[in-house]
Amino acid sequence: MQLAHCTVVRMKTPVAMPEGLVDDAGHAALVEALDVLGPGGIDVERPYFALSGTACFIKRHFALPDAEDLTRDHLTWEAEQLLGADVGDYVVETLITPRCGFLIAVRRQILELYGVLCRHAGLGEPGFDMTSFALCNALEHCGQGGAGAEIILQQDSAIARAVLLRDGVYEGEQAWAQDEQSVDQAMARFTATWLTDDDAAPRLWLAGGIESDDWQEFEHVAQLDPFVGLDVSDSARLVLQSADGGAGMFSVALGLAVRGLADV
Amino acid sequence: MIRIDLQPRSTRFRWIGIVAGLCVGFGAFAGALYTLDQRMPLGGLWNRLTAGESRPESRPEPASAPAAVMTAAGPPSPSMVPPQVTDAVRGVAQLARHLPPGFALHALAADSSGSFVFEGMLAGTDPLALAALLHSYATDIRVTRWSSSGGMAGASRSCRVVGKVAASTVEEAPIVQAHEVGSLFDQAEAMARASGLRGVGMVIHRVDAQGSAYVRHRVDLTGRGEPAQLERLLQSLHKLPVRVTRLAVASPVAPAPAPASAPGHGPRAEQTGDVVVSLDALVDVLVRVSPGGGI
Repeated sequence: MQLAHCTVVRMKTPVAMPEGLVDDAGHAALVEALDVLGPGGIDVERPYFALSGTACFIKRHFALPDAEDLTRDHLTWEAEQLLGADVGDYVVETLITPRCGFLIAVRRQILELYGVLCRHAGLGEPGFDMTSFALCNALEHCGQGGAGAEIILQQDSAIARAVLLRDGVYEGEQAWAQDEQSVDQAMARFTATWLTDDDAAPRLWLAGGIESDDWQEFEHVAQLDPFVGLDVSDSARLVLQSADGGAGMFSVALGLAVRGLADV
Repeated sequence: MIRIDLQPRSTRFRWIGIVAGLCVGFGAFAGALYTLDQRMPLGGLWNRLTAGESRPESRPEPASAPAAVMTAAGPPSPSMVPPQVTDAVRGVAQLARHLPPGFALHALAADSSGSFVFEGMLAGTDPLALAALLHSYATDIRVTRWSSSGGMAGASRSCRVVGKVAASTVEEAPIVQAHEVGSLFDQAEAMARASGLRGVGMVIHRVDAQGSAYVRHRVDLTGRGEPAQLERLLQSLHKLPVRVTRLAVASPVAPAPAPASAPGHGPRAEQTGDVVVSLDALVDVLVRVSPGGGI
């Protein structure tokens, strides 16, 4: 496998997602931004989008031991209780790990709007994944994690996110608006809530322009490079080296790409 | 690899439902037209309209009729009425203490109207008995459950309880000055720490209600602790000029169900949960206009 192309698509004006999909001006700005991919040599047969924010949620429940079907049945029931009459407005999925069952729900309208966006931009039918799952897949793919408790800390311009894994398995997450809470405060609360006495020396992976020096309380802190061990073309390497925040900024994108390849 | 399938596939039943709904709607509209035509010939009415027949004009008001005037003595518009503060959220937290030992509470949500949701695992207690118990303290109780073992006696059941607690006190919400908000929330945070909650944090929002006379400054107090600590906090917050608008408690690590035991026997096990208490402080933004018209 090779990283053939890599690019950063810059918006002329910021577009909040997923609200920008509904707004005419936002939609037009997104179409215009995506139009640069074709002439740039990136033939997108199937684009993948990361989902997060108000249009979707992940809810954690218990998992019945050795009873995946029953756990799924329970999670479906939970979805019906939680969403009530609106359950038809959501696409509901489940994720079952050795320790937990997760209910994932996304507003159907948002997925359909992404489809409209892709049609208008001349792209193929979109695929989707949760932002936190894409980060987990990126960490798994580069082979750097997978042991004990690990936290991936990722941020973009507005939202920061902490994702907890144990032995490479997704356990939970928390996201916060950066203008409402500092990363330090949020991480202190996250670790107090999620880490237990059994989590010895958790590792912290930084994805997205976060300084390593600020995390003295963690024994192991490293910048997440999702492209470790991957054959990278010269043109893609130039883009990675010039990107603000380094290769870690592309962690979600790499996670989505890996997921897309698995779906082929 | 984590791999879930999020595709907005429309199911066959969804389309059948849409078509059926359209047919029912069209049929109802056609039926209404037929009934109306029996009472008033619609054809004749249409002919009159298309022939340009003038409709009777409304009588002009006599010149001496006084114009309607909005008086300051009228009832206040809804946006001018200060919201109310209740102890309903504290009532829900107290209600949670009455849950039987066989109910392992995983999550609790409540708002200032008294509406609540309890989620957890129920073992050794009949859901009907649980509903009957809660009816002593709340209204609109609805218990739904999911069973993992085909309804066998003693099997653990995922359970959800929805209801409403009546507030014992309802008062007009206090109004504070803008410069008081910071110290007010600092006091709230100090109360959270004094109650024994661990890892206390504060997230500050600002909610500007357009067209309202009040600006709501909102803070989410977060922490981790036991029900008794939470009740101490809620009791302390009642002394501050703030509204407790929302309470959420969740156990981030799914606990095992409580061992089945006869209802009412033994004390309820204290459970640690992740707590979020939302508080509103109201600031009056009305600008007082002097009799001369200046500010």
